[in-house]
Amino acid sequence: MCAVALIVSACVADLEPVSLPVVDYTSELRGMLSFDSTARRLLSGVYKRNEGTTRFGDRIAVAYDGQVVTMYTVRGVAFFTLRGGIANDSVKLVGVWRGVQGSETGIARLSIRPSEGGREIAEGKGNGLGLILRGEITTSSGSRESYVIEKVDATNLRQLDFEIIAHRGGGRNSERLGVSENSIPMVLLAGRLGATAVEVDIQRTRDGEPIIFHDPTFTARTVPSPYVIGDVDNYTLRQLKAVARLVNGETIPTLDEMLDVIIDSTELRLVWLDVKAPSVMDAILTSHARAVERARQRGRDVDILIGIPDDATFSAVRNSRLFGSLEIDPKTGTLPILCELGVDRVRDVNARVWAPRFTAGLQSTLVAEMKKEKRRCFVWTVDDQNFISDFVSNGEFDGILTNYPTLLAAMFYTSPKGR
Amino acid sequence: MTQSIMVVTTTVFFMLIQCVDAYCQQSDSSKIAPQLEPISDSVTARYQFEFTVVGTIGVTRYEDNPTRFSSTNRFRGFAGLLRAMWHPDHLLSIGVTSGYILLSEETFASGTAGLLESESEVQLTAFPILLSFAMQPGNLQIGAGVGAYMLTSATRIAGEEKFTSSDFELGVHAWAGYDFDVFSGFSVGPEVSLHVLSNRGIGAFHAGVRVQYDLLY
Repeated sequence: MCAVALIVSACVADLEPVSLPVVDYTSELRGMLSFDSTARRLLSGVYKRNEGTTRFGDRIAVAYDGQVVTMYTVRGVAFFTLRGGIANDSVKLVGVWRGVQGSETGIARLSIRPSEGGREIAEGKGNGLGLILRGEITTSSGSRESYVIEKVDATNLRQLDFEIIAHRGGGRNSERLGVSENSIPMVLLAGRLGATAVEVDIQRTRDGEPIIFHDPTFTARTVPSPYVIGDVDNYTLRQLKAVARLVNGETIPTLDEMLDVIIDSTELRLVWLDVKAPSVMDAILTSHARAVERARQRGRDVDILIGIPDDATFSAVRNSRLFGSLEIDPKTGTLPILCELGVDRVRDVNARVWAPRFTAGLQSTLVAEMKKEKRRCFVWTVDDQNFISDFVSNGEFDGILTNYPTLLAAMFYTSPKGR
Repeated sequence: MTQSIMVVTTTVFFMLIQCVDAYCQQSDSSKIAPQLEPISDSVTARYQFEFTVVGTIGVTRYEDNPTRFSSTNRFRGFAGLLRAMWHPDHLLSIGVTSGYILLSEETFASGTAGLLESESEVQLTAFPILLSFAMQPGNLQIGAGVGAYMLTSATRIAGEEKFTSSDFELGVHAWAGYDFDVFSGFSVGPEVSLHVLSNRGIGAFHAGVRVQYDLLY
């Protein structure tokens, strides 16, 4: 009896949040000029480790998200978010790093001397090949490790036509990123994690409002509010806004709120709407049309795709009175639909993307057929390093959905295909 | 933190149970050896089917404030529980506990935190269905229950119909009570109890009155 009680009482372990170290960017970068887009482009590329710590492996991908320079490593599955500045032909980068599959974190302080590429960046010339970032990183234990890396490939990684699609808006609660899965702060973080695209899940409220939430029921894992229990569609939107908080304190966003933030405040270029509530398809398509118009008005090139994961959703899309209002892409002649079903269904709804499950394998013949029809092919959900390696090296997919966009970004960008 | 407190509390509680069990084993030997007097009449008298009705008031504590509008994580509540226990030929009894527990109730005025447009009410109640165990040294009874709590949340925001949503959660219940015999088969006494639903970060401490009836007295 004692054992049973102990098991019951201890069966849910608290996930302690991982606190990132605090960096005073104002004082660290005082008197320095901010990076412009040319400086960020010159920094972007693939680097090799020359000296210092081996905790991040020998190959590092450097990209940028908005004003922030980002780095991704395969070893340690770490991402860096660095802010930088230029002064006297030298470049300084300071920020934090975090290993997403554990709780390791620390501060990174790197610089580029004038003779090692700093002058090139200050003058906005060249392609950045050979520039050397050197400095040190701190670790969770407080130790300091030197770190020197050299740029060996000048590809602008963000321009590659491959989608790194982050699951649940960027990552799951279990990764303890400090923001909740499928929340507004999570999609704002997604680009820094390495994502170029996000998948978000759509459930419905009792009053028929599409909201961003993964599960059909509320559990303590996703919504700890004790007043919020049972089925999601038991609650009206007003009730959820009043009493529901996600694990990191955020409110549950509506589909409109989520799409507005992605369009206005991120550089993500694709959104996969994973429809788990086909009964509100008309409302979803209405939000989709509104978001497409908003993106057009703001000059944002973002592809918002209606996901079809099952037969019920397929029928709901086909039978929606708004199906005919979906805009055909003039370049490909396809509709903004992502279909996870067979290729016949993909053709039936003229979907822009075919997205089979990863367990079906590389499916090279079908992928080639789809591409010949100007459709893109994504595969989901691939988290294991060996499978990612296989799909990146041997597959012909145009994107991969993963819970670890940092790992995928590092593996893809440092692979021959990424260059 | 809640998990640790829960584990320690449960461990201490069951260590206590084991001590009482050891004590009662000694008491049992009094029945085998008729030359010794039983420690009290109630020890030998309570090998029966027994019903207990418990009415309590108490305090519920949530791990965090339950909503962003809540100013506290502690709330007053009350409970009415019914316990049916079978005492086989041993001091350990086994049975079921059920009833109704009001865990918390809140009303938010219109304009709370500058966010709510109208008055809102929220309430959380629990309907426990627990497998219970108890030991009775003399007139003292201590017990524990493990099982499911059907949590029911009721919310109403002005202009909307009040409605409920329910879900089951695992939880544990521990209690200690003392019985003063009133007349044959009936006893009355105080009881303190604790309900813990660790998955939801809910703990409720209650104190009140128990009325016990020995069915086959």
